[in-house]
Amino acid sequence: MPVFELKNVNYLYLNSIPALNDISLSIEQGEQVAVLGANGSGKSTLLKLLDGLIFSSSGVAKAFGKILTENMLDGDGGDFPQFFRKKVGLIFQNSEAQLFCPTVLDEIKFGPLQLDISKEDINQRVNDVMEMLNIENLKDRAPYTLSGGEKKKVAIASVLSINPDILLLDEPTNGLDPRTQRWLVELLIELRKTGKTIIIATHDLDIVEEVSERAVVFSEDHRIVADGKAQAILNDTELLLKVNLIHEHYHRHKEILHRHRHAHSSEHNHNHSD
Amino acid sequence: MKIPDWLSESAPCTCCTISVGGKKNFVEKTLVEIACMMERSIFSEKYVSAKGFLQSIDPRVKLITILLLIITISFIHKTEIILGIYALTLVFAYLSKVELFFFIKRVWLFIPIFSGMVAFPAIFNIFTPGEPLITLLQFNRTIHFWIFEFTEISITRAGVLGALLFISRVATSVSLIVLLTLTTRWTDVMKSLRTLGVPQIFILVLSMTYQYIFLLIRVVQEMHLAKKSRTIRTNRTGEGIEKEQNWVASRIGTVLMKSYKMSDEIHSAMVSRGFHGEIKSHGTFKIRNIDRVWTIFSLAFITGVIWLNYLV
Repeated sequence: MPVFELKNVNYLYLNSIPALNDISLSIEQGEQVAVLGANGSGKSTLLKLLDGLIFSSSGVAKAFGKILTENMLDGDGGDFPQFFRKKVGLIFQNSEAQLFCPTVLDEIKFGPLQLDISKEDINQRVNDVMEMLNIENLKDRAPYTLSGGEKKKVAIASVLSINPDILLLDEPTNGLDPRTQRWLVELLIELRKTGKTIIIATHDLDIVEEVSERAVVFSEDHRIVADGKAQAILNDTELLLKVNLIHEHYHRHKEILHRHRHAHSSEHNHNHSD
Repeated sequence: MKIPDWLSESAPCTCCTISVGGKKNFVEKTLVEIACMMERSIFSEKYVSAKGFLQSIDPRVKLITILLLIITISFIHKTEIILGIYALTLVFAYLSKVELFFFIKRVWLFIPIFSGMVAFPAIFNIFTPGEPLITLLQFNRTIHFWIFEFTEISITRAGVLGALLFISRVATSVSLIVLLTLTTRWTDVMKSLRTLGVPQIFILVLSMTYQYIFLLIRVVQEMHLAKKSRTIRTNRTGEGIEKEQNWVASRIGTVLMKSYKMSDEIHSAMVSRGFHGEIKSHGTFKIRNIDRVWTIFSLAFITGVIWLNYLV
């Protein structure tokens, strides 16, 4: 059974502006999917829909075989809301909105506390997750005093402490310096090994292949125009051009996996026709 | 992409004729003040993390005993006793590694402005009749004014004592509160309110408000800087002020909209992590021996003070 199954889903922002247009999508347990699209193509909306924060205007969105509706995730859903929130975690694009607790420690504890996890377990998880992300020294700091990279780490910690099977990440590398971006990619590779389902909305094509096998491409009119192997999609320059994800001068370093220090600024003086 | 011609022209250099200086406008002054306030809150952080006496006491115990002391002070009508308690706050400030000058300044800076103004009329015979200390004005007939009748205006002994009692009460109470806030993290004060029966949701809202104020201040500062980097202050001052006021008014609207949008996001983020209208939390505070000793000391002290005040 797929963890998420969307059939002809539409979403209208403020009941008039379309943000998702006839989306059909199925995601299996343990898959890593990159959701690609230009700014404003509906990636964030899709993640919020998958996290049960907004609900489709028409069409059917199912998670774990149950139709996601406002009632289902409110009091009427019995144990389902609790189950769903434990299973699915969303890391928001804007860390500032996600960090609302007075200290970093409270922030990381917040999720597990709401989900009735035992006190010993919570303390264990909080310590482990802080150690893993190397943020123990931020423990007593107020989130608003942190730098952008630190905020992102705390936001990730606050979701990982719930130990969700499905991780949704909205533009995770945005606004991070290259070193923190690299750190994040490596974290995602590690998490991938644990068998978690990871869905990343991004327009950072450089990380796609490393963090996902499958890619879903949104066009600017909020439809899915491609769904397939990440590698194949990244090589389909025509498609990427059409959805405004790349510019004419985009080039890839073949399909060789390589790692070395490099910067592009000085290399751009060469002729692209050769 | 074609860059329009005007974009590649640089502005003529008039460095030699540019005038420098001028007053800061009010938006800038306000923002500087707000930034100062932020800094002060970081400054206090310095005392919170110091290893002093009051810092080592459980926040809940500290909150309750200090509130009890403040209530006691409002019952006491002997100025000497209150001054004694004030002296004790200085001792505790010292033991808690708070700079005394800073502590005294923080308390006494506001007292002349607020309570001084309230206490001032009370020293005159019009409001507090009694033995005159200094006579300021003598009339040869009885003056009727509203509900008051008087033949002279003088400062009375009872008036001065009353004002002194009032001011020392306020100063001591404020000192105690300042001690509490200087030696306790704001978040711990908030959590301690739970022991006084304040609802959890109320505490959450309060502490969230506090931290998002900082965030919104930054938004405002950035907006102002973004505008400053693109404008030149006009020399026609009258027009400048009016324009500035208009700008500020419209920005207030923008900030409101931004904060509204953000509150929506925050709510989603809370729901996403399992929030459903009711906050759960664990207390992390532990009562230790020092807290027990402090509680016993405070209660004994309060009893002693009341006994001195009413029985001796």
